[in-house]
Amino acid sequence: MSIRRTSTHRPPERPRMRRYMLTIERPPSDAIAHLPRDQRYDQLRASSEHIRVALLVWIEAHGLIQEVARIELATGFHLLFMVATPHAASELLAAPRVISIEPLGTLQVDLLGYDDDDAMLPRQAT
Amino acid sequence: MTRFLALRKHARAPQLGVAGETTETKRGALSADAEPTRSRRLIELHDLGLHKFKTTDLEAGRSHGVERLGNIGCYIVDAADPEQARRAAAVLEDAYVIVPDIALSLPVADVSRRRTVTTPRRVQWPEASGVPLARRRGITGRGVIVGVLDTGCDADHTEFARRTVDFRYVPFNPSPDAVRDIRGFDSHGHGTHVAGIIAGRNVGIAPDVELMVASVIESENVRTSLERIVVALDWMLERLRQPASRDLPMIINMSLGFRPEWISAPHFKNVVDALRGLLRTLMVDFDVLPVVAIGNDGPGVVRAPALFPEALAVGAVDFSGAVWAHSGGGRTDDGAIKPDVAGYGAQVVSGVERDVSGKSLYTRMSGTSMAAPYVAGIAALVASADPGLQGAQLRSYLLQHAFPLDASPERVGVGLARFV
Repeated sequence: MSIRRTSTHRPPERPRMRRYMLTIERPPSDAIAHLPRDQRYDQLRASSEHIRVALLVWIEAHGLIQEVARIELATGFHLLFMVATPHAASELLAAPRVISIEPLGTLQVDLLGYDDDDAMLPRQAT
Repeated sequence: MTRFLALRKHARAPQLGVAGETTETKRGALSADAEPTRSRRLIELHDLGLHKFKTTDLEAGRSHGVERLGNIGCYIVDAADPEQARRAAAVLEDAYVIVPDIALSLPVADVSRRRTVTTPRRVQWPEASGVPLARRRGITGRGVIVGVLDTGCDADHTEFARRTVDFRYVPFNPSPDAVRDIRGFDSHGHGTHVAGIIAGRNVGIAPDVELMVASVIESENVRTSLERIVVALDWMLERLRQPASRDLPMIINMSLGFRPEWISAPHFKNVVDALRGLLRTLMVDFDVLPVVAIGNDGPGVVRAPALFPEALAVGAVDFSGAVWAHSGGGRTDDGAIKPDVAGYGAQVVSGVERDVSGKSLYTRMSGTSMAAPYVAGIAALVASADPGLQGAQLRSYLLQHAFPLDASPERVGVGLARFV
């Protein structure tokens, strides 16, 4: 005979996560100016990736691993993008080589050209 | 705050996963959260002067109103002023979470457009542009990379026939490895028009440039994210790692602008700084010239990123050299005059996305969106003739050799960009 049980147990609420932009340190332009462009790119990207890896280590050391879903791969720019809780984001401000952290949303842009048949109306309200 | 989202507080979604609950029960839970079609709150919002938004409002110069999305328990409010927004929030806040969104805009149905399917004969750009001179010298942009950040590009349009359009679709919340390497498409037309002015076979200024297009703006709601822009620019910079491209001049066209109120919002300061940092990296570290439209807000308004000193900001003139009425311009907070230079941006013919049968369509468009790719095309011709001119040097050359116009520098900068 099988007994159906109704559990009242609910899993603990997962902390809400959102996307953040981290501005990080970068090599000064003067330090890479003598390099050809491909190597300048490699240097900048390697610098960002190095900081990203160091941040992952820092996150683990500070017990925030459950609060940071991911940090995206580095680019040639001194910006990193991550998905984390607001608490983790505020803690990461103290991490080495992090300059600022900003929550990200979508941005409304306006395309700056109109069909002349549209009587100069933008396609979206502004 | 004049715009905000109001999201219903007591959504029952967390309860929907309870074992044994049927689909019908779940539907019941959702519909119970939905308000009656004509709710008390909607009536109160109407009493405040916030009515359902219509396209005719826009034509009449009104951009405020309210949109209720009953099925998902949400109101979109676009108030005329902060006081009206505050009173609207008071109507909703007992049952709704108020989410400020300074970048929000109400959905507006697109206006129907007329297109022509007639393929124009090779467009003859005015002699003052220097394009005919470049043609006579056989300079067509060869050996120059031009990147375009826009809604996309219809790679199978006649204007791009028998050439490669290096294209990436950059999705929302992208990672650098999530960028999609697919055939160029454009469900909006704006990006195709812009790319056509630069590199179109018949209508373009520099038809032999190496064209890179990143689709970073959704055609439905004209939204993007800083992350998309970063990933798209990074893809373009990666091109410089290829030995054949390492030393080529690169120009990036951005016919887009962020709203002034967004740029001046204090809590977006770091995002604004980041945006400026991107342009600085392009110009200073990679000798890439960012060409940016000034905006269509008329005199006294300069949009970002055109307001940054690292951008070559472009205003629009018509083919007689007169200022296009809606072209923006003025002084930035640090006293700099923008735009830097002007380009032809009124009644410009170029391609738009093909129709359902595959016919290549064309239309005339006006705006600083069209003036910027004109200048990007001229810059490509100059750099093609002298590949040593890149980044800041290319910018200086264009400014020094512009054709003076009889108009205020705060509308046209130093004059019309031209090839000499």
